[in-house]
Formats: sequence, C-alpha cells, structure tokens
Amino acid sequence: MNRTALARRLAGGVVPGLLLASLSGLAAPAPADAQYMPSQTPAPPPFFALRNARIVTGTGAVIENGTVLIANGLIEAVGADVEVPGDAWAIDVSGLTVYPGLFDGLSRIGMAAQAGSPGGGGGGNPFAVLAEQANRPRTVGPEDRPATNSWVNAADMLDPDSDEIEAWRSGGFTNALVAPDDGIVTGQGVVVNLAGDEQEMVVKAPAALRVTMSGAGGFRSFPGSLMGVIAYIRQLYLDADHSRQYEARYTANPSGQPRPTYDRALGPIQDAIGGGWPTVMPANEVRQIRRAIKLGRDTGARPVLQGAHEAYGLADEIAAAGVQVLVNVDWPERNRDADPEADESLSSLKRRAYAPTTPARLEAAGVEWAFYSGSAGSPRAMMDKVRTAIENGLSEEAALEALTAAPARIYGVDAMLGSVEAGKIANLVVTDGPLFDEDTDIRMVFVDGHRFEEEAPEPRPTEPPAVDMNGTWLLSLNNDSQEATAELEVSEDGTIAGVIQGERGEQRITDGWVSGNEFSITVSATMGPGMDVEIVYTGTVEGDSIEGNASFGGMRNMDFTGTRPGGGVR
Amino acid sequence: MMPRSGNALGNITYDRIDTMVKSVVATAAVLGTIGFALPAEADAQEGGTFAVQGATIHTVADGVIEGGTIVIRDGRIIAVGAEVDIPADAEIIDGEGKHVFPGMIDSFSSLGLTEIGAVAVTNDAGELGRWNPHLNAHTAIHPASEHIPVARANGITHSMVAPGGGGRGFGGGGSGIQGQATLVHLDGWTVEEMEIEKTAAMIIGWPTLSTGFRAFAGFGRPAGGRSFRRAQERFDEEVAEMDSWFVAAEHYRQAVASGSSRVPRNIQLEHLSRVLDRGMKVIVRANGWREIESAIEFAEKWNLDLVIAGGTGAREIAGTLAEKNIPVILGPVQRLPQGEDTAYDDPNTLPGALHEAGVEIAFATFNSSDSRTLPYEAANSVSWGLSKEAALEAVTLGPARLLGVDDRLGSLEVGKVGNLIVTDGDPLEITTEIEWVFIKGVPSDLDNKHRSLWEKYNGRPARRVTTTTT
Repeated sequence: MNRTALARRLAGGVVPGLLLASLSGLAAPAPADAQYMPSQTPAPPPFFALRNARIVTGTGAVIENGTVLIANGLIEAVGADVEVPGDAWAIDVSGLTVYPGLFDGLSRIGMAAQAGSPGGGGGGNPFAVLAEQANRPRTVGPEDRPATNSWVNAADMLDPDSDEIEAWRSGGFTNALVAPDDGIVTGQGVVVNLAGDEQEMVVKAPAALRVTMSGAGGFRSFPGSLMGVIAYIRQLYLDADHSRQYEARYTANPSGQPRPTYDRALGPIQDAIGGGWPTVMPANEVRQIRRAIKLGRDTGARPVLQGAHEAYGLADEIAAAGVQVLVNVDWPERNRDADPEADESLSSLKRRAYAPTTPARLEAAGVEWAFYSGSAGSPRAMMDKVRTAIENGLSEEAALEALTAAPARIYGVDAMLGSVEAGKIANLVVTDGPLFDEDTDIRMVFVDGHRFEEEAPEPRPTEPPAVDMNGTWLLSLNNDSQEATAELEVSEDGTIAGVIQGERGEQRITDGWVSGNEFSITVSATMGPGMDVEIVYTGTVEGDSIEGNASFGGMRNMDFTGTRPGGGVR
Repeated sequence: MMPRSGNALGNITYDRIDTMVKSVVATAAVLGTIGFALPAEADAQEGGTFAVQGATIHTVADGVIEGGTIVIRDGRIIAVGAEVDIPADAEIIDGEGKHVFPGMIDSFSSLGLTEIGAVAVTNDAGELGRWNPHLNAHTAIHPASEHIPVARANGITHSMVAPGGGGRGFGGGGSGIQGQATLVHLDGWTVEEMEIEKTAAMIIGWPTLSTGFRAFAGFGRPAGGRSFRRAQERFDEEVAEMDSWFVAAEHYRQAVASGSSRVPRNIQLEHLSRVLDRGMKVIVRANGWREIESAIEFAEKWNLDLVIAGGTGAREIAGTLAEKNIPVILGPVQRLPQGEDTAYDDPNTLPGALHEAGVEIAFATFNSSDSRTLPYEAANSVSWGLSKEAALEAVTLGPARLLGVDDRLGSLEVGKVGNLIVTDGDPLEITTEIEWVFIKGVPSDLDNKHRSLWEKYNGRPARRVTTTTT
C-alpha cells in the first residue's frame, strides 16, 4: 500500500457527513507533490466497537443486542457476547441497526468522465466528438477490433474525489462494480470501496468483463448494425480462442512458425474465459436474454445478464441455464413528456407493469441475482425502486441479499464483502430502523473500517404554522438568475403539498412543512437523463414574501426570495 | 558598574559597547572573583552575583520598595527589600534614581520565527496544512534573529513564541491546529539556552463565523457575501471537523493507555492528546464573542485549559470569561475598531473593560519586529482606563500566571529567575531608557540593530553646503 496515500487520505476518523466535500473549497488543496504533507484528516487507532447494536448479519442471522469489533479495516468479531478491547473506540449504537454495506451491482460511481477514452463515443460536445473521431483510424473490418476496449481497466479510471462517491456512501452504499461503458467491449469492471484513494478503493481488479453489443457508432462503418455486432463478437471470441491455441503452439516451438500478432484486445477475452470472469451482457428484453445465454454457451464466456426487465417470464429458463442476473432497479416509466393522447404499445405497458416483478420471480426460481442502480441517480431513488420490487412480491431478505451478498458472490468477492462476519472488510451501514422503511435514516457508514458519520436528520418542528403559505409564489433564485413558480397547498397541521415549476421542469413536492414562520419544502427534480436530485428549500415567511436557501442534493446552495402576487387564498 | 547604555535623548555620549561576551569576561577579569567562561556554556552564563542598590523596586507581586536592593545570584533572585545584606562578591549597580521591574513578557509573538514577513525564506511561522498539533515552534526559533535584541533592549525578557496557522500560500491564519508554542528567554546562543518551557501551549485557530465578502467567484459559488445560514453551516462544519480531531486524540490516548501493542504510532494524535484533561494550555485564537463562546463550549466538552488569544470582541462575553476563569491574550490595541459603528476607542478601552470585569488579561504583539512595542500596548490601555498597576501586571506577572510559570517568572520575588530590567522611569513610557536587562540572572547585551543604525546615521558627517554669493 502506498504509505503516503494511506497517511493522506485513509485517516479514517470520524468524518462528518458532507464535510469533506464542503470543506474542500476552503481547506488548503494538497499540491500534487505534497508527499510529506501530514494527514489532514485525523487517523485514530483503527479499532472500533459498535456496541448494543441490532446486527443484521446478512447471512440470515440477526443478533438483537450485539457487538461488532472492527480492527485494521476488517471485522474482527461479531456476536452477542464479544469483549471490547481497550484500544477500541466504543460507539454505543443502541436503537440502531448494523447491516452489511450495500453493493451496487453495476455503475459508474466514482469513475472519471470518460471523454477521450479509447474507442469512446465522446462526451456531450459534438465538436469534441468529431475532433476525437477524426484522430481515430477508420475501421474497415473485424480485424481492426473496432470499439473493442477489453484492455481498458476501470481501476485506472477512478476519481476518488467525485461527489458521487460521497453521495452514494451517505446513502449506505459502500461498494460498487464499476466498469467502463464505452465500446462493444467496454473493458474490465472492478469492485471498489466507496472511500479512499485510487489504490485503496480497489477491492478486486479485474472482476468482470463488460460487453454492450452496441454498434461502433460515430463515423465508423463497421459494425453498425446489430447483426454486424453479433457477428463481430462471435468473430472476436473465435479469434481469441484461435490466438490462444496458436500462441501455445508457437511458444512450444517458435522455430519455423510465423510469430503471433500482438493484439491487446484479445488477452482479456481469453483471461475472462480462462479465469471465469463474469461477462456482463445487456439482457433487458427476452431476445437479448436468450442471446446472451446462447452466446455464453457458444463461447465459453460466463454471462451475467444485465437489465432483466423482461426476465419475469424467463426465470425458470434462466435458472436452468445457470446464469446470473443483474436487475436494473430503474423500472421503466412512462415518458413524462409524452403526448397524453398517444397510444403506448402493449409491450411497453407490459414491461412497465411486470418489470418490477422480475426480482420476486427470480427469487422464486432460485436464480443468483443482484440489483444495480441503472439510471437511478441517487441512493434514495434506488431504495425507492427496491421498495417497488418489495411491493411486487420480493422478500426483504432477498432484497438485502441482492444488495449485499449476491453481488459479492457474482464478482467473486464474497470472502471479503457482503455480510457482517468476522474476517470480512468492515464495510457497514448503521441505520435508525429497518433498511427498507421509507423513514429510515442512515446514521453511520463504515468503509474499510473508517467511520463516516451522517448527521441525524432534524425532526420537523412541532410548533403550528403562524403564517398562511397557501397560494402561488414567484421565486427568484440566486440573485434573479433563475425563476420558479411554487403552487403550495398547506393542510391544517402545516404539511405542504404542491408543485414547483422551474427551469428544470415540474418538481413534485415530496415533503414539506411550515412551522411558526419557518418552512421546509423538499422536491425531487430531474436534472438530466436519469438524474434525479433532491432540492430542499428552507426559509422564512413574512406576509407575502419569503426568503431562504435551496440546497441541491446537499452539494450546491442557492439563496432565493419570493413574493405572492395573488396573496393568500385560504 | 556603569550603565551599559547611554540615554540618547539625554545627549549622553553613546558608549559603543563591545559584545556581551567581552564585557562580562572583562568584568570578571577585573574583579577576579567570578569564574566566567564563554557564554556558550549555559551554566556559566547563569553564574554571577549582582545587586541593584538603592533603587525603586516594583515587585509587581508585593508592592513597591523605595530605596530598595535586589540581589541576584546564580540566575535567581536571592533577596529583595529595603534592608538587604549585599554579598561581598556581588557586582553592585547603583540604583539611585533608578527603577527595577520584572522583565516583560510578550505573551504571543513570532520572535525568531519571522525575520521579514514578506520574504518567505525568512518566515518559519507557518506550515502547510491545517492540522499540525505535532509542530513545535521550539524547533524553528532562530536565536540570532535581529528582532530579539531589539525587543530585549526595550525590556522584554521573555516571550511565548507561537506558530502561525495555515502555512504559505493557502488559507493562512484559518482554522486548524497550528502547533505548539514555546516559552523562551530572549537571550541565548542556542534555543536550548533560551528555553523556559519547550511546550507552553497548543495553539488552535478557531473557525470564523462570517458572511465575509468574497471578491471572486469560485468553487461553484458566486462572488459576494454568503448568507448567514451558509456561514453558520460552514462554521458548524469546521467546529465538527475540529471535534473529529479531538475524538481521534481521545481514542488514541485510550488505546495507548490500554497497553495494546497493535496501536500504530501517530504523532499528530500523540501530541494533541496531551491537551486533554487540562494536560497542556490550549490557546485558542478567536475574536468575535460567538467564536469565543463556541471555543468555551468546546473546551468544556473536552476539559481543556483554555486561554483565548485575540479577543477583539471579548467585551460582549467578559462576564462569562471572568466567571469561568478564562484569560485573554489581547492582540494589538493600537488598531482600528472592528466595525464601522464601533466606538472609536473600542480597541483602547477593551483591556480596561476586561480587567474591570475580572478577566485575566495579558498583552501580546503577535509579531516579531513589533515585539518591542509591547510596553506601549499596555501604556495605551492605561490612557483609556486600565490602571497602571494592572497594565504592568498584564505584561509581567499576568502572562506568567496565564502560562503557568508564575512560580518562576513575572515578579521580583526571592527564588524567581533573575529576569529584570533597570530603568530611569516607567517602562511603559516611550521616553524611558532601559539601562540594564538581566536575563537568567546576568546582564544582557543591549546592542541591537536599531541602535547600530542610529549610531551609524547619527555619526554621518554633516553635508557641506557651499553657497555662492553674487
């Protein structure tokens, strides 16, 4: 382990939630060459004890009043009757529940933006895309290995300072399988811890190969169609197999034989087959699921089905094939901007209705499967969607397993992760209630035995409203740079409902109250495709004017003022 | 013995003194009674018997003795009073018309750390990073700093030298743990000779609660002030960050005390844990009353031996400070008022008001080149309501008490270290000449850069002006 990095980052004391990100703007940024900089986070002895905990171990056992000992980043002991050593910092977690840290089965959390990456389709800027593609050799056939980035490793693309890491960790997620997502073969996925620096984050690399079966795209002509892609992938596997055999023969006796051609794309394909890496393949629709299973059978790859929204009807078939499944928790929804009169196809309606039943079907069929976040942009959104699956018949035990032990097994890290057991990595989440209850809050997260504390949410004040907030308010955010309209309905007890219409579209109020002359309104806003962010407006009311502060996902803040031209309507 | 310095204003011929080494050796040779060696040996430097006879002795601890005599032997005061037997081997200074005071202490300075503030290579006061409890100013003090003789010539015999915060370039003076301050005599060839208390206090910069104006946009925020709500959040976050260090220090202390063999050594926490349970003074730099209040709350939580440094807004919270017995090291009072509508004399009346409220105060310059102005900080406050006695105490016994060295320093009492000054008047007056400075019981050299410059330019030949008449 890089000692400097360890000292610098993995100090691992109590790191109050959101503190690092919010202070990064004011602390002295560590220069890149500040090798001898003392640790800027406290590094207490790496021994902790969580006492008086309800422990959901994730192996089926629940300890009602127990202790978890953490030492040097690992779980040292778990049990009802564990003695706390003198060097451990005892944390009384009475009334709280300890779970294994949650594991997102496939994501890009904590990966640097992939713009300009090899074989990439580029970022959002079309000129950048064009410029990048102009520099790339044109591919004319399978032998050029178009968009085959099997040699790209996600471990080389981590951005430990990404805000997402903290956001997901605060939501209870301690692990993810991150993989590049660009290309027909996107590259090697890696199991990461959601804390630490580039080196410390990596738990297992490589842990998977990812294949998308999307066309090479851009101006590259081959393969541009699905049939081309599939033909190419088959060719790729054949080439890999042939190359493996030929190289073995050549190595045995190089004399008199043409040397094998160096091809960096083939090695990882061979390794994936030989080493039994899971190969993540898109498998949302029935035909994709069957295609992936067949491809696995034909090539010797070990397919893991990604998506599985139509797997509800194929659970037994999948079980029989013995393949594993990553279920995209981002259930299909009706396009919010669709013409309300437009017909929706039956297949689309069916998928919307039945996709959330997939987990329950897979559970019943005994398939090994795990959840992944898909486009659910936040841990809160993800847990909402897991609840949807539970409402559709999934057991809570299986839901927990699909977020902990199951992904650990799929990626071969179940000896290190996935449950609260002695000897495993101390990745834990401590909640103030059952994990899947909507009102449950996360109070502490441990990653590698380092404690990240989340602030206890402020309870809603009990004082009755002293002002009438009903009506339509015009809000001006950030010194008039943005405007929004808030239509508020306030009930007797001060609960606020309604919508806020702003430049980001309609924002549904998910929680709100007014007490005295203070108010708090929480809305869920869509900031981009699949990016749902929680915005909290808090402030004070005086007559027909309000002022306060809007917090965007806890990361950005804007001040706002508002007036009510129409006055109160009560 | 003749005074080792003349009074420039009195037009007495300046006796360009040789270095202290030469003069002491010469004196020893003449008298033939004291075995002086070169002062490079610390013990030898502390040797000798001296008596100031027939002077007005301001003991600070025990009133004023007219026509009194004070005797120093081997570095310590062995007798003070009106009727004192002077040992036969004593060198005697005629104190007729003179005054003897304890040497003054600058309770917070960067003497020996900062030579020229604007020249980075001469500036050792700050370190990169905000969390440096393991640093000690002792390691960086430059005994040959030009500012030390300048301060000494003005009657300042010892100082608490403290590291500054936040290092070079970024966030200087911001919140964080800035390191350990050291208490030194202002004379010595090496820092070991100067040392009184290697570790006098832990210096902490408290977060500032401010909606302060930002000239430039950055980090996703627009230019301009931030809302108070944001400021409060940020303040709370910074205090929480500070708290996390103390949690870690407490954990470290507990783990080490348990005898566990698997605790990795961590010098940051090792040093920080020494402040817990009042094991070391904690000097918190805080100005506004809200910041001070927050620091007090924090100190109570962690059972810290708290001293506030700065304290420009301490007036609003004087009652609490007095009640909880928390001393304040006051920053320069010769400054502008903090707020636009703050009373014009607020900085000047603050020391008197705090003293009146029962708060222990000490003056400090928070500087190196200005350390010599320490007496005038006190003097200024006398003009605005602080009693002369209290002002004198706030540069002598007060700081000694505050730093926990009043058993050795701060007053003219038998048994204390022979740090004293012989003057022709009140040392708080600018016109007063300091004629002798004793540090660790021996006379110190009063030559210094200011004096040599004065001599140089005083001795410059008058310019010849030729006039032409027509």
